[in-house]
Amino acid sequence: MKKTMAVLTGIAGLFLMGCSNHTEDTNAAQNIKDKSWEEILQEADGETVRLYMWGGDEGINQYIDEYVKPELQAEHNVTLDRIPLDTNEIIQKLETEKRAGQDDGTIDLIWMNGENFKRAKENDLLFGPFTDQIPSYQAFYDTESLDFQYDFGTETDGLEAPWGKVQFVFHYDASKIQEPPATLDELMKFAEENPGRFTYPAAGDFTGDAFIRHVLYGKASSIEQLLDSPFSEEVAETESEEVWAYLNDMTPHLWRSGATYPSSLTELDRLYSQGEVWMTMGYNEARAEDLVEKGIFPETTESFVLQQPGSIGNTHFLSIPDNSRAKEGAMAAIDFLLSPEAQLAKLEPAYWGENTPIDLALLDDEDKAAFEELDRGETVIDQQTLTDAFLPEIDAEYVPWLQEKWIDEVASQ
Amino acid sequence: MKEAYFSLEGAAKTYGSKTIFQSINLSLNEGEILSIVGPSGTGKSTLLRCIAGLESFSSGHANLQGKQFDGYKVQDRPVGMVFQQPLLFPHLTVLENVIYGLKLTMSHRSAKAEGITYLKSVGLDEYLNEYPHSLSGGQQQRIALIRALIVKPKLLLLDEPFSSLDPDRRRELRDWVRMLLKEERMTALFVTHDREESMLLGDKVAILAEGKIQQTGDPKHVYENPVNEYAARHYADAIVLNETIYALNHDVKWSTSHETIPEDTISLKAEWINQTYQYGESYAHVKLVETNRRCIIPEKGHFSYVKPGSRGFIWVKQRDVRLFDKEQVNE
Amino acid sequence: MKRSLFYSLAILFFLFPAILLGLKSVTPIWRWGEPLSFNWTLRGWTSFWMDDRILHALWLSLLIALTVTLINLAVGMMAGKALSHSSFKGKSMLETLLLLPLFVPAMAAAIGLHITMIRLGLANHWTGVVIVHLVPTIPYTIKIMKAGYDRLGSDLIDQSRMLKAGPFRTFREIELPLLLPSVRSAVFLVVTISMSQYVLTAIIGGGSVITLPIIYYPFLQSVDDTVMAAFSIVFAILPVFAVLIIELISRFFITKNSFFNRGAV
Repeated sequence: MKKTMAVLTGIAGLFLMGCSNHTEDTNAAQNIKDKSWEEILQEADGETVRLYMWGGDEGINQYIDEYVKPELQAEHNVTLDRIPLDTNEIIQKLETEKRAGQDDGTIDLIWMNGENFKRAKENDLLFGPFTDQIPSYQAFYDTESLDFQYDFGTETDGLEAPWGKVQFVFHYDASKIQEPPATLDELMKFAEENPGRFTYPAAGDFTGDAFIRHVLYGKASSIEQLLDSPFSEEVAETESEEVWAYLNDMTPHLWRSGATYPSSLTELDRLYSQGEVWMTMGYNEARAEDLVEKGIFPETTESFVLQQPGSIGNTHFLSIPDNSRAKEGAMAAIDFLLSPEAQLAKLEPAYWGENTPIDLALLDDEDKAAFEELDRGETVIDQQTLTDAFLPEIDAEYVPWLQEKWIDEVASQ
Repeated sequence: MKEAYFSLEGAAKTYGSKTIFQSINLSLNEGEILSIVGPSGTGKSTLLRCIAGLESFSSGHANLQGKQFDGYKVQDRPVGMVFQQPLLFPHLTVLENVIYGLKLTMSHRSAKAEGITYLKSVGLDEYLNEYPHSLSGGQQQRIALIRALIVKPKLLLLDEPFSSLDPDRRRELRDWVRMLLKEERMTALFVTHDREESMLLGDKVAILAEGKIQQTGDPKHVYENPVNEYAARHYADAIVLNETIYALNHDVKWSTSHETIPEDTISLKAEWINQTYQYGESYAHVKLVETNRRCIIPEKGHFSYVKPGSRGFIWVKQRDVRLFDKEQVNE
Repeated sequence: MKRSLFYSLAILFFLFPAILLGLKSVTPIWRWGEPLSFNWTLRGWTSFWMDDRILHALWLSLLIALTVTLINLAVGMMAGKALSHSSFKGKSMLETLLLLPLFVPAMAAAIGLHITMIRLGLANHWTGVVIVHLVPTIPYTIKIMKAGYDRLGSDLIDQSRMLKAGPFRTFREIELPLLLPSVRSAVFLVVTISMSQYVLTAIIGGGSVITLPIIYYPFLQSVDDTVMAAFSIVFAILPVFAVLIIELISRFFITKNSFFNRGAV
């Protein structure tokens, strides 16, 4: 045993020797606030920025690797490294680093929103406010918009800059459904008339939760009350009563008579791609385009939103961790990512196809026309319909509460 | 007296508070085979393992040719060992097994030649390239012995090497081993619980019981003159009458009733078990009532009418009663 | 009879799914009831190669897995032998203790270890990842090697030493060759476990250490079976590859005649 210990200590020693000492530049971090954009760009010149983001979509990865990387290099001489990591792990890493007092982190840029942002903000993991220093944000975005002031009910306080926005839509197979439902009642009617052809992901799945929120919006006495006031259990209790009644009425008509639910959107998508169910859904109005293109979804796939209650949308953001070593570079990258040209490229269905939070009214005519003329693909609903149906998100605390309630009221009935 | 070739002085082994054996003194001349006999579980194997270095003595010394070697590492001791099981290395051929111990001292080619020569000389060369699993138990044990002998140890330890074999093979192998050991003029310590085996193989015999060497000597002498009750029980055919006296079994007789016992005798209550016949003699098996010990006595009379389990007596004439010669522990 | 049963079961449960996976990686999605069409597509594989770090990730995964395996074997053999062949106070308690890391949730272990690794300066470095990969692997290796040594017993080792072989030669010529089946199981298990660590690698490697699962795992949340099949095939082949490497190393190390050949006449 002694020998084992000796060997292990030896190995550990070798590892320690192999580690380099990181130099840090905390001074620079402190006075970024007082710097002009030119000074910031000067600092950024030559820096490497490591963008940590979920990496499970080729289209998104390609957009970063094939478009953003070379463009950013050319424009600001900033090298972008895309690191695929789940957001939960990213925040976890930052939390632990903070506890260990490590102020020279490896993360310079994070893509996130909602619950993760709340966690990061509450634990003081983020650098900022910085958005007032980003020229493209100031120039092309409606900085007063509540969509940017709040992220799932949490004040953004200039700690994150809007990168994209998505809206919840349903996808259906037009070869099997002539007229898609437009209200919750019609959706119920559809389920009744086509037993086994509709279902939704169980609560706990991101998309399943969003579907249940739509029912909440539709059955609540007043959407405004939900949106305006912070989460309270009392309000939630009374407002959600009809939600469970609605979902329970629907249960017997669901796929497998509601005995089980798909545990994730992936499963629902698979059922849809196999033709078992006729509808799927998702928190991204453009996502079907790519799946049809690849032959995973049937070619007859089309999209719809419910007119009543509407379609929940949210914005997702870019943040800079407090222990980043390349904050100027990160700011330069954010400026580029928010610019009309980068946003336009992001909208291209060939890459990501995702909607832009940019305010078209603030663009010059040429750019505006480019956005308006871009064909997002046949499965994407036109912008006007989306805008008309748009509903903002409610307080993030509703999410876990609804999950638990759904299990009690629906899944275990 | 000239110095012994191999000797143990006051060897002892304890595990915690448990004593396995103690104050073991033994000596052997060159080329001599000593059988250590005793009941199972008396630490015979442990004694050999300590001499081999696989375990260490708690106290005492082992010497060979005047050199104390009990501090050496296993591989540096001039000692070889054959275990109860053949323990051939299953992934090596017979030849590779046999020359395993030669690798340190000679080249592969000469080791191979040596191994082949040796196997030929004992008539086992047909198995050269076989793997152990295709050999019978007896053949495996022969190879194991050759593997131990080929490195020419100065002392060979044999730990019940026949115990895993059936009786016929065992008898066959004993003669072969004895012949081979004598041919090689090997000095050997042979451990067994079988008295007959110890007589067949050993030039001398030592009785290990109760953690001590009870008696050492020429087999016939020890057989006829046990020095104490342990020696009497484990080696001689003798009935221990008390701590100081005993009677040899062939002087003892059976009587069904008290009236038929002659005068000037010592008699003990006994229970009749059965009668057996061997080598033209008949033997009575009885159990002593007092000690519950079984004993077999030569008995010419016919007692087929005695029912198993019925009571009677065994007796011995006063003049045949012997005294343990406690002075004469070693010959 | 038995043999044919074995082969048919092997084909049914092993070969058939493997072929199906291979087919899936080069064909577009197929729906039940559709006529079988063979439209070959390399989309699964081009997606796989899309990330230009994939080759580097493959090598890094292999390097980490092999380093983890070698440390595992060294520690596992010593500990396994000690647990199997010697008796000491509290042995069974120690055995249980050694299994405990398996019951700690990966996330909890990762957070605790992350702080330590930051202090040691090993966070964000592949060596740190190697060390945390020991947590979910060492207990298995010790268990396997202990079972191996139980099966081997101490007699053959004693016998080898009685034939003048020192501990090193005994290890090389007797223990290692006879424990090879256990070594193989341990290597396969350790490599597979190491190569499937997402959370531990993500937290400790912090994105600076890009291994295969870091690139591959996010794709598990996709409905694109063609891409997943391609990833899965690579993921399944890697352990086999690693086992082959270890096999070669051990062959080289064992070569039973090497000792003889030295100084042969």
